[in-house]
Amino acid sequence: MTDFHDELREALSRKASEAPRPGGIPEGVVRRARRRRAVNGTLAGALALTLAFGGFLGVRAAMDAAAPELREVPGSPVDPTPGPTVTASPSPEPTETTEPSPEPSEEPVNLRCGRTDAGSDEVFPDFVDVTFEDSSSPGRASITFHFEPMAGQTEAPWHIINFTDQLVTDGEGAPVDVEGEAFVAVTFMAQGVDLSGEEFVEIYTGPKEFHQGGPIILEVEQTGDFEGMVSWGIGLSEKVCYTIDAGPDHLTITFVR
Amino acid sequence: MMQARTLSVTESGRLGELYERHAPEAVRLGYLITGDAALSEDLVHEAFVKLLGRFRDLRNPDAFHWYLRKTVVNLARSHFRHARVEREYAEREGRRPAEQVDDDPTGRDEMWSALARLSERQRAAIVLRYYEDLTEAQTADVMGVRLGTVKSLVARGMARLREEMGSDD
Repeated sequence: MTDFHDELREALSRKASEAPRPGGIPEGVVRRARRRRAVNGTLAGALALTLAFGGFLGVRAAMDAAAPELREVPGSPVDPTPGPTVTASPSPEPTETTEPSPEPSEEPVNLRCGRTDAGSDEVFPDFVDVTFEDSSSPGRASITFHFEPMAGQTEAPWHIINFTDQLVTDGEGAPVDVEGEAFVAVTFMAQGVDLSGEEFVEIYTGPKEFHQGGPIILEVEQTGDFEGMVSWGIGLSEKVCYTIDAGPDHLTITFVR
Repeated sequence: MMQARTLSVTESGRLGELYERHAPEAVRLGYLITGDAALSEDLVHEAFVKLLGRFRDLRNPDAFHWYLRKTVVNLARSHFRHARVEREYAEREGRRPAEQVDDDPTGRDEMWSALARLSERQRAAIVLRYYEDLTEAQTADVMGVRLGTVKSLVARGMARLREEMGSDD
């Protein structure tokens, strides 16, 4: 008996063979792409000017339009506070980058306890470093992924942060054993290896594993660098919520107990 | 730090090279999701405009393929969403709704006909898993949905395919 999956694959291949075969790139595509690039260049310049003169509201509206999911704070269906910020420029104090809340709050603004999916999938910085900070306060621990932005890049790269029962490697999906009671998978769009030349060139040359030993972050391990998506797994001593500070040159996750 | 080598996409030659390398695969993907030859080419053209228009420098051709695949899937989803709104409007107005995916009226390919009757999202998930051979996690990335959603879309789609094909495998 033919395996159903094989039958399905055959049907898909058969159908795919009927697909049109595109010839050369249509002139209209080239023309429209160039026009779009010109417009984007103009918009990027306008955005930089807006930021420089503190045009906060307009930029904020544009960012919200680009990433409406940033408004969601898991566990708070109706939350009047502004959503998390994807900062347009690096900040020396990650936890201070959240915008002022209309109401004073006991908890850090934008505390997240579930999935985060934010940033731009149209920027592609180099991934260059990982650093930690957990000594300043016993109830907080931060991990920062550092990027070298593309020329003119103003947005944080696309990033997904999520709790998971089992960390796995990208591609193969092989289990990754990391010490901890709760696990966080972090994936961001960046280049950790340059594949454009004849030989692979590692851009991120630091360790692929960090043994932090707590009190919050226990162990961190790189789980993949595949097709422009870099992944890390974080083992925590317990499940805690986190805040995000993301910009063109960094992604900081601060776990808050 | 080593500076990554850049692949400029500013020249028509480079654009053409990228197009020739990646467009056929993208058109096949679009065709399997939409079942429409002309639409699949339109989606791929639109995807190229979006991608080439946004990249000043494309440093990693592999990543381009990744972006392109994701963009085609997203554009197909937008198309179906738009088409659904149009259909609902046409039905409200008492007009004949537009056709959905061609389900092979000749009956030559039962499996494709069954695939065509799945929801667009189930079909996309199955195409990415069984034609593109992506993992569930990669499929979730491309579709912009959670891993659990992919598992559910694939499981339900496959169950319906089996039911329609009368397969016990």
